[in-house]
Amino acid sequence: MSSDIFDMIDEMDRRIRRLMDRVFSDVSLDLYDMERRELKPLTQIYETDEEVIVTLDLPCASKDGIELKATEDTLYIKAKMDRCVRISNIDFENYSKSIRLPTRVDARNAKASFKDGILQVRLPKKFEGNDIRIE
Amino acid sequence: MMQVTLYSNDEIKGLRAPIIFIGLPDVGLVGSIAVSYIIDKLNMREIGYMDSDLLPPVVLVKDNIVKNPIRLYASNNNNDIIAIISDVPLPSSLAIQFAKNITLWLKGIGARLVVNITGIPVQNRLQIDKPQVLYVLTDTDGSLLNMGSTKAVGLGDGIIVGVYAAIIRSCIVSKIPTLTLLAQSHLNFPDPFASIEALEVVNKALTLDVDLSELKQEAELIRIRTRELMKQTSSMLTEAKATPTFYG
Repeated sequence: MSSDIFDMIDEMDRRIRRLMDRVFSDVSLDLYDMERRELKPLTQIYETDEEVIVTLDLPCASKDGIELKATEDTLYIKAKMDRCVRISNIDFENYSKSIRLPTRVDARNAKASFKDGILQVRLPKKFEGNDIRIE
Repeated sequence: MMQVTLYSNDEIKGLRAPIIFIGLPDVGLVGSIAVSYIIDKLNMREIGYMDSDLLPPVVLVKDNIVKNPIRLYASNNNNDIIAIISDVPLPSSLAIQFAKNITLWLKGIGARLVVNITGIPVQNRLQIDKPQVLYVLTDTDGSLLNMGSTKAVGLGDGIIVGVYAAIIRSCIVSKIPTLTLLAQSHLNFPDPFASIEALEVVNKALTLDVDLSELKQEAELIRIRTRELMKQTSSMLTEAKATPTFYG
């Protein structure tokens, strides 16, 4: 009997969490680092057979204020905004984000371009493995 | 409670054959940004709202006043105009009922034309300096509009999905003419430059004179301030699998 009650409470808890997730998703967590007063840019990741293409929306940033680093599985971006933007009474002046890539990449041969406040980084996929001989 | 209920005040009675602008959150927030800007520039008054049990439990507070997320505005300065905007993406389960109720109401107030403003995602948007605007007309031969003076081109063949498709279908049933503008845009990033192009078409087609200079100046800030809505909208579109096919 008591285990039934706990099951019911667990189920209720799960439902509430699902509802909260649906209502608020994790939008705020995804877009702001309140402690460090940094915006996390909207990001789109797209894969072709050869590349991982990461596109980031960086309004109010300029090419010279962007720092980009990549390892074989993560892309790091930091960018300074050309003005201070106040959101919910907090002043933001920088973007920052660490993006886990969907597959391993050859970071040394990555290329980036910046236009109209949008940064696009193209990272060639790392192909590893052995050739298989067809008999 | 019906799935969607519309509440409006008495100011609506003073409007004659209004033109209706609808700007709901979807691709690139093109419609949301464009119609919010029209509301601001024409100093439109809030005249009502829509509510539904299917909307997320959210209200907005602006200048200490609580506002419903789906709101109706009106202006009768030059033209009689109504604008409908939403600060939350509409769940797909709400689209048809939303469209039916709004159309029923529009029929009742004698709406002359419904103008839907939205985006159409293009993969090479980064390479496009001036997004093209496509249009679709229903129940009108275009005599209500001056499309020839704009740079917009007909959609030709294509597909429109989601709440705008539901509105168009519902308006066809109710014989309310519609103009749907689809500006080439980013899919998951707010695209005020696409909104600007759509509004250029609105200005010429309807001989309005909405000054777009402020939207051009403030575009970068608008992109920052609409990030949350964009993120929620992208999630909703993915969940509903209602992302329009890439065009071009």
